[in-house]
Amino acid sequence: MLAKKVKRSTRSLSKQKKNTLFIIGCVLSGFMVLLILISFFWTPYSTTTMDAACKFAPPSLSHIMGCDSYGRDIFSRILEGAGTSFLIAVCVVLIGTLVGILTGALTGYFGGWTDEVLMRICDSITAFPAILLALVIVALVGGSKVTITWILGVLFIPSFARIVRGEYAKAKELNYVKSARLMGASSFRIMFSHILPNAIPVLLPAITIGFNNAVLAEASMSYLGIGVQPPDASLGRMLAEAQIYLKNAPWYVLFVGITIVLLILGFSMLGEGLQQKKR
Amino acid sequence: MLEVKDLRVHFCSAPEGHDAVKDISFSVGDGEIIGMVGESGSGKSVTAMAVSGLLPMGAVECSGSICLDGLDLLNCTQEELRCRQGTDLAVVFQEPMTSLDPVMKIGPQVEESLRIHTKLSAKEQRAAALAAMAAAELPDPKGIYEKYPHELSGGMLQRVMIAAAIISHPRLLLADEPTTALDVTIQAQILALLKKINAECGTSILFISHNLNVVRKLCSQILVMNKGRIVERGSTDQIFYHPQEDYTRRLIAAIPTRTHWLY
Repeated sequence: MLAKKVKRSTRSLSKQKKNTLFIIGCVLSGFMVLLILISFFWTPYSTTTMDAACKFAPPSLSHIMGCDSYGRDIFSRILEGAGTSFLIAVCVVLIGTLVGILTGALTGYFGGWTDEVLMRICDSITAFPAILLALVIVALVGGSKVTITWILGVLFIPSFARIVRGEYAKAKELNYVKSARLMGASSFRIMFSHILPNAIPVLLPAITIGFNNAVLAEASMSYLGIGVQPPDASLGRMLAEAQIYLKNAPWYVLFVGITIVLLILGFSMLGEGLQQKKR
Repeated sequence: MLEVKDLRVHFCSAPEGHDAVKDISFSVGDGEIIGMVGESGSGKSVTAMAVSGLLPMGAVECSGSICLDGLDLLNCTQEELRCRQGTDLAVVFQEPMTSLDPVMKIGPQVEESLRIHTKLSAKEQRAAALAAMAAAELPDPKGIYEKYPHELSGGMLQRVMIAAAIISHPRLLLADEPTTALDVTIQAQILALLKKINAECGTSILFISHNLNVVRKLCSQILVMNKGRIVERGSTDQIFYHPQEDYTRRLIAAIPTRTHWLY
């Protein structure tokens, strides 16, 4: 009796917990996305106009996050930087998911040599340390927003492909897939209109986690100077800039750091919430 | 209509291989209901898989021929086979709970074979699906059309499967233990439904079961399988009242009777 009661109370507790996680994630990432969307059309100040009078101005009512070494408004630049990082991360995840779904579907559904060839290619991509590989490619073709989007996109393919492959390998033995096959459905139709919708609950948390990793990867590459090039702002670049002035303007590095944390925290909570919701 | 000749299915997985079905021949005529009985592992489901084209082609070798209206299903192209599946040949499985896509509504799943093989408009498909669902004696087809599989009971789902199978008026319905997962009252209803479909549409049925009582109610001809071979064949009365083979006799003796209920 008591055990039952305890079990029930823990269950309701965990249920409550996962809901709050999901809700906080939604609110936080929704808020960040909203700010970023606004920044595409409007920022408080121009992100490139320099104002010598405001150099290293501390946070005040007119510049809520202060100004940087050129007297540019940090809040506006953070908005623009977050927008750049966000766009790059979205494109990276888009490339990774689309190609990953295609690869995972083909390898998981057909198996055999398709599986061997494509998965070995994925293995060889994962075998290289991501940042190092990116560094080499940037050295060869030159760094820009587009280049690092493609590089990171390709590097993200294997993780999605592996998840999708597992789902497809599992699903192809299930009866509903067999009965679809018996109705004469083509492999393409079975893969994308029957199995894919069933794989989405697994894919969704992977996408949010992948998004986080993409934001971090972009930030670290830009921090190293191989990602987004000046005068474009990106969170990683700004962090690199800000650390030089750690003594003169500590709020600069603080605000950039907090923005990265908030952006990632929101999406990772969202992902965690989704994963628990699935269970 | 369906002519199976010298069908042999060989599984290559074991070192020396294993013949699951050994040179069986049988035919199903127009409008006939043929029962195939046998214990687990006797090769009846493998036969069904071979006829429906579900055998994993890498792992098995088939020889002989399976002719459906003159087309040899074992030696035709994948494309030819797909054209027949869902139009001339439909299959109802043992477990209705897992045979439907869990994230798709019932209606589109019933329409699936029309979507694949015909160019009917969405409205016509919907009308055909509702008609098939009514023919499968589902109460309130319009309501069920919008439901998901988990909202229905096992018996209802089996009716949905039957509706999906008969929507394109197949010539042959392959029923692989369709009543095994259902309770006895629902079993009787499903059997009556299959009989009605056979009588009204002239659909031939190859009915596979391990349950002799079920087969007896439904089928005109019975094939008894054991260890991959057909050991006896004949009309239902012949099999039940004058079994020739020892194995058939033992199978009939194994039907539970009232005396068995005592313990």
